[in-house]
Formats: sequence, structure tokens, C-alpha cells
Amino acid sequence: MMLRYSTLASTFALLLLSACSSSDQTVDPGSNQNPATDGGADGSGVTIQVSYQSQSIPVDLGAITTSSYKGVNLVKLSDVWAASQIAADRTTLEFEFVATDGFKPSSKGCADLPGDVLDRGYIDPASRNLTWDESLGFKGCYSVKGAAQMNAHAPTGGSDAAAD
Amino acid sequence: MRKSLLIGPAAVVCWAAAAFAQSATGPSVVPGASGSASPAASDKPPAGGEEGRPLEVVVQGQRPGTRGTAVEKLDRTILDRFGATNVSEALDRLPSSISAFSARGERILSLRGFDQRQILVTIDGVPVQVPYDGQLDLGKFPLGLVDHITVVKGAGSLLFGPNGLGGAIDIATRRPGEGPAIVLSTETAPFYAQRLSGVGTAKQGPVAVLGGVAFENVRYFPLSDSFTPTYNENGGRRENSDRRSLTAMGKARWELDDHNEVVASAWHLDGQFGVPPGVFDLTRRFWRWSDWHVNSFAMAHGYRDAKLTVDETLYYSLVGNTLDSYDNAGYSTQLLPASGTSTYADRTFGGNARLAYRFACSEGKCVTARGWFGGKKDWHSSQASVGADWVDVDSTTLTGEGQVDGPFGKQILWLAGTQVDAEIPGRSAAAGKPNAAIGVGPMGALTWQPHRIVDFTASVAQRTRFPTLKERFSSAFGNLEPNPSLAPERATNMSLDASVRPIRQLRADAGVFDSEVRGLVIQVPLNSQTMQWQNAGRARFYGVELALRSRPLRWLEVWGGWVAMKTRRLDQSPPTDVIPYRPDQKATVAVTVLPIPELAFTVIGRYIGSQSFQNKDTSQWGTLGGYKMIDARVDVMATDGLRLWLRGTNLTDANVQGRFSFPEPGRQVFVGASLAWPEGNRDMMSPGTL
Repeated sequence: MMLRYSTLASTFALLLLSACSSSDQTVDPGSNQNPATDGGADGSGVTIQVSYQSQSIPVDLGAITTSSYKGVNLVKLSDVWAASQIAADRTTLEFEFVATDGFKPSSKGCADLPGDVLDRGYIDPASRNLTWDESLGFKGCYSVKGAAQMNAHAPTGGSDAAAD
Repeated sequence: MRKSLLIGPAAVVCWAAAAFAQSATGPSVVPGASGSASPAASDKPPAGGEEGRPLEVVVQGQRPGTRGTAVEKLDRTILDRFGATNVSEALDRLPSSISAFSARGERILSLRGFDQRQILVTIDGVPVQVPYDGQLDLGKFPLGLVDHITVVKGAGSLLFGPNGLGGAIDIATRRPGEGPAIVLSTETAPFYAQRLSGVGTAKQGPVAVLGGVAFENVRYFPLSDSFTPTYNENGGRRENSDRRSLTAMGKARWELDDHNEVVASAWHLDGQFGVPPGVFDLTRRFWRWSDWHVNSFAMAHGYRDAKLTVDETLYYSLVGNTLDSYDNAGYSTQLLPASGTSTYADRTFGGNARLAYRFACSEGKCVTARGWFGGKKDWHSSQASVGADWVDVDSTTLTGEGQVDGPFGKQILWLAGTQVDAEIPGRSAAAGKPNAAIGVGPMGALTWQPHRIVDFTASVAQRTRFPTLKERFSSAFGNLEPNPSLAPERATNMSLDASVRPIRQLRADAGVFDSEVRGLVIQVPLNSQTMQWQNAGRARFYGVELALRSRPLRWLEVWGGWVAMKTRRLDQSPPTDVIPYRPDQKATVAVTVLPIPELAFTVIGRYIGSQSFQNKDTSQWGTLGGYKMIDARVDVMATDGLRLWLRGTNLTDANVQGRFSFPEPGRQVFVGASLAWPEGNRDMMSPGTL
């Protein structure tokens, strides 16, 4: 009987000892180092082309102060518009986003967005992926990856389609 | 990394050494319940050979290809020892299987590198899956109604049906008229989780019936205290992790005469499940499975005599669900564009016939010719949102398999067979119709037993998996482009297994496996926003598996295993050849000590190695480091048939993510009781508990 209890004790001691030794899990989250971009992880040298009417301005995302969204440093789209220094009120315009490969939300039936939501939209300064505040409840088609162009135009009357 | 690689084998070797050292004093207890029995241990073939009865799958025994690490059988005792509450958790205790919560709140497993779509899963021999998706969350199936689970890996998976590219898993419910007449079981984690199950069976003359019900109500699962709150998750009670389900089952068996038997079964699962959002996701999903149900009906007839075994089975399954996407964490409104309700209503109708004919018998061993012929039709109907048009697609699969196995002299067992699968696509939901396809899968295996304590088995098999309806036709709300012309995946599985049984109290298995998949179906980007399933890849899964089962003393049981594995795509170069969520190694050690017959202590330790994944927000590859989990339980036989237990899971309260952004539960403690009548047994040392 003594043997049983000593074995019992040693069994638990062995397993619990191994269990108690550093049970933390290390995680590399795969953060912003998108090789598809042409600049650094902080966005330096990464640009997005902002255009309206005859104007087309390359905006350096690395030169804009980031905002924290869910703990991630992103650039607000309204700040991108402001950095372009295009003299127009964004809230009176609609915006189209075009990816590096030419993808645009309208190709999936998602209408261009009204300018007043730009202050709740973000672009990753490294990957140029778009993120929208989840309270907007936008469909996935607006989460453009690798956005290269941000094209403004006068409203066509279809912008409320985003709320379909 | 190198240090962690040594943990698994070191543990196995340590326990093996202990078993050898202590074996001299142990009684004769046969550790035969897990995996295949040694040829030497089988004095004569059982009546009806090794064939299963109607609605039963039997894979253990003399046949090559079903030996060593290639087969695991988890019987009721092991399932109890594991302390798992559902099928997924039970399988997750195996070194060769890995599962974790996904973005859909499901626990989808992989087995030796193959994902669950590539594994044939059956309940009582009847395929169980969402017909559209080719897989199903086994975490939704309570263990209360399960008698045992059999896992066949790689090359050994012939004679089960189509689509078992990398193996097969059969979940067996209890056989009517056998075992205790009534088993009642309950378990609770005070204030947030309750589980109840009851099974009753009776036999009157040639008729036996069985009925069972299982209920689960979990308000939430707790996160580890060391979880760091994020914007999406405060910690403590995991958001939207509630689950409630009711499972009911009925089976009846009628022995018409000495040779004929009819079995019918029906079971029903109905539940509601929350989908915990990703804790790091920039865009959360507020999802709930408002309805998730499976109804399955099967009827089978079997004939058995000294030489011939035949059975025929018909089955019909209805699998449906409703997924509600809400506006926010209130889970009550659906006003925003991304919210809505989508519905699946799928069906499967099928049947199969198995036969086995034994001849040329000598010294208790026979040559056996086996056949398996079957067909099934899968229908999928779905509605992407309320008021939208229903989408209907279907497909028919036919399978014929033939196999002959037998002895060659006293030391050799051989097996040769071929499986032919054909798919006849039906209605299409995209431009173009899929082409009919055929797959031919030869299999061969050889067992050599140079001594009664050791045998070696080499096996090779080629298998085919037809693409699922989802892979062909899913648009995933515009994120996927359908590909009706998707072709089947094909795999060549090879394994070499050795089983050693130096003493009756110890069995050690070692296996080397190597699988190559061609025409691997993977998602390929068509543009920055749209993916498409394509036969774009080749992959190779290879590794080594060790298993140890020992009962060196009457009061000590050891169950352990270790798998080291490499999974990589052959059509890519490093570092982009990674297959996500495939740990480089996994080890499990379970030790049960029974100081007195009425008391059992079990400690289960698991180590899961590091695994790669792709962050969906950044598209970059990351790594989840290896982690350990410790579970333990105490079982007490209070009176005849009454068992009480206290168990804890993740005792060290490790904060780990099984998948990135989806943490596993923290420490949990449960108390439970079960009552079996009238065959209660105070002694938990009964043989075969390993």
C-alpha cells in the first residue's frame, strides 16, 4: 500500500511539476510587414493616390499621424483626404477605392461611399488594407486590400446602396 | 524548439521504462482495448470473422493495414478517463488529432495533417456531415450516448466508403440489449454549465431496444485569468460562448433467427450555439447559430453464418442550420448592411452493402474476400438572406470496393484491394456544370510477425476525395468565385508500423507515415478581394507516431503517445509552403492510479507544438507557440453502479490560443455522477480499461 501512495504522489508531482513550468504561449501575431507594399512597416514611402476632378495627389501614409483603432495604429481616411489638400468638402462627395490590381467594391455591386464616413474608415499604413469601424456594419466588399487609389466624385445618388 | 521536441518521446520512454521495471509483479491484464490486437493474442477468429454487425464498424483484428498506430479505439472507459464532454474533445486528446475553436465557433479537426473534409466521419457506419461542406462540428456531439470511437489513419481506411482521403472516424453508439439497462449521468460546473444524459435498453426474446437522450446547457466558458483584455473581449466569461443542445437517439434490433438480424436507428440533435468573436479581429462578427439540427434515420439487415457475412444499410439524413448575423454585441438587431440570416437545409440519402466470405481456413485463420458497395446523393439548399432565392445543388457518389486478405504461412498476413469511386454531379449553382469524375484506389498491406511479441506492417493506399458542393459553388457573400470544374483530390498514403508486446501488460507501437496529396484543393486569390477554390497544389504530410499502452501494476495505467509531423505544400517554396494550424508535434500522456479498487486518479498532460497561421487582417504569417495543458480527475465508486467524479481541465489556467484570435477555455472544474443499473461494478480495475 505504501508503494501505491508513493507512486501516486510521484505521479502527481511529476505531471504537475511539468505542468507548472512556463505554461505561457508565445504568439507572433503576423503584424504589419506586408511585402506587397513599397515602403516600410511604419508606412514611410507607402502612398495612396487621392484624386478629384483633374487633381491627383500621391499621399504618403507614413507622413500622417496614426489613430488607434482597437489598439492598432491606422491612418484615418479623413486624414488622408486632408493630407491631399484638395480643396473640397469631403462630406459632399462620394468615394471609390481601387486596389493595386484594379479591384473596386462596385465590381461586386457595392456602391461608392459617402464622404461623411471617412472619419470612421482606416487604412493600414503598411499594407494599405482598409478597415471600417464595425459599428457601420459595412459588407466585406468595402474592406479593400492593398488600396492604391481613393477617387472622389460628386454624388451619383447611389451611395445609400452601402446600407442595403 | 529542440528541447520541446524531446518532451514527447522522453515521456513515452520514461513510462515504458517504468512499465518494464514493474512488470514482473503485475497480474495478467490484457491491454487490448486500444488499437489492434496482436495476432498471437487471438486464439481463434470470432464468430462471423472480424466483420461488424449491421450499423457497426469493426476495424481491429488480424487484417493488415488496421494495426499499430494506424488504428486507435477509444472505448467508454478511456472516454471517461479523458474527461471529454463531446466527440471533438475526445479526439483532441489523441496525439494525431488537433482541433480548436474557429471563427464560426466550430471545432473542426485535422488528423495526421489532413483536414476534416478529407476524413470520412460516420456514426454507426452512416456518414455524418453537412452535405454542402463535407464536414461537421463534432464538438456539438455529446459523448453521453457514445460507446466508443474508432480512428483509422492513412492507408488503413479502406472498406468504409468514399472520401476518406486521409482516414476515417467512426462514432459508435451503444448496442441495444447489451450493457447496463439504465445509465444516468450528470455533470455540472457550478452556475454555468450542466450536462445530463440517460440511456436505457431492454431485451425481450429476439428484440432489443435502446433509447437515449443528452442535454447540454452551457452559459459561457471562462477564459484564463492571465488573458489580457482586448477591445473585443473583456476576459472572464467568453463573449457569446453559450451553447444549448438536446440529442435524442433510439435503436432497435430484432434477431430474426440464428443468422438474420434487422437494426433500425434514429437520432436527432437540435441546438443553439453562440459564436465567440475573434479577440483581435479588426472587424468582429456577431454571429449565432439560432438553429443547428441533424436528423438521421438508418435501417440495416445483416446475415451471418460460419463463412458468409452480408449486411445492407439504407440511411437518410437531414442537416440544417440558421446563422444569424447581428449588428453588435447585443445580438438582438439586424439593421446594418452586414447583418442578416442565412439558412441551410441539406439532405443525404444513401445505402450500402457489405459482404465478407471466409474460405481456405487453417489453424483458425482464413482467407477472407470482402466487398463494399454503396451510393449516396447529397442535396444542398441554401438561402443567403431572408427573402432571397434558394440555391439548390446536388451530387451523387457511387463506390465499389473489393479486398482479399489472409495468411501466408505462419508469419505473414497479406491484404490486397481496390476502391473505385465515381461522382455524378447534379444541379449546378454557377455557370458551367461539373464533370463526372472517377477515382481508383488500390491498397496493399503486409504484416510480418517474426516473433509472437512483435509484428511489422507496411501498407500503401491511394484514395480520392471529390470536392464538396461548397468548394465548387460557394460565393461566401462575394468573397469567393465559384469553380464548378474543380477536380478530385488524390492521395497516396504509406505507412510502416511496428507493434511490440513484450509482456501482456505493455503494448508499444511505432509508426512512420507519409502522405502525398495531388490536386490539393486550396483557396487561390483571383484578385485582392476574391478567392477561388482551385486544384492548385500538392502537399506532403509525413512524420512519426509512437504509442504506449501499459498496465504495469493492477493499480496503475499509462496511456501515451507522441506525433512529430511535417506538413508542407510541394508547389510552393519556403517560407510560403506552410499549411496553417498543423503543429510540428503533439504528445499526450495519461496516467491513472487506482490506490484502492473504488478510487481512480487520472492526470492527462498534453503538449501541442508550435503552428503557423495567416493573420486575416494583415495577410502576414504568424506563429502560435507550443503550449501545455493539464487535466485531472478523481473517480469514486460510491456504491454498486454509482460513480462520482471531480475533474478539472486546463489546471494551470494556461492562456492559449488554439487558433489565432480564438482563446481556449481557462481552468474549469466539474463535478458529476453516473448511475448504472443493474450491472454496476465497484471495482474500476476491471481488465481492458487501457
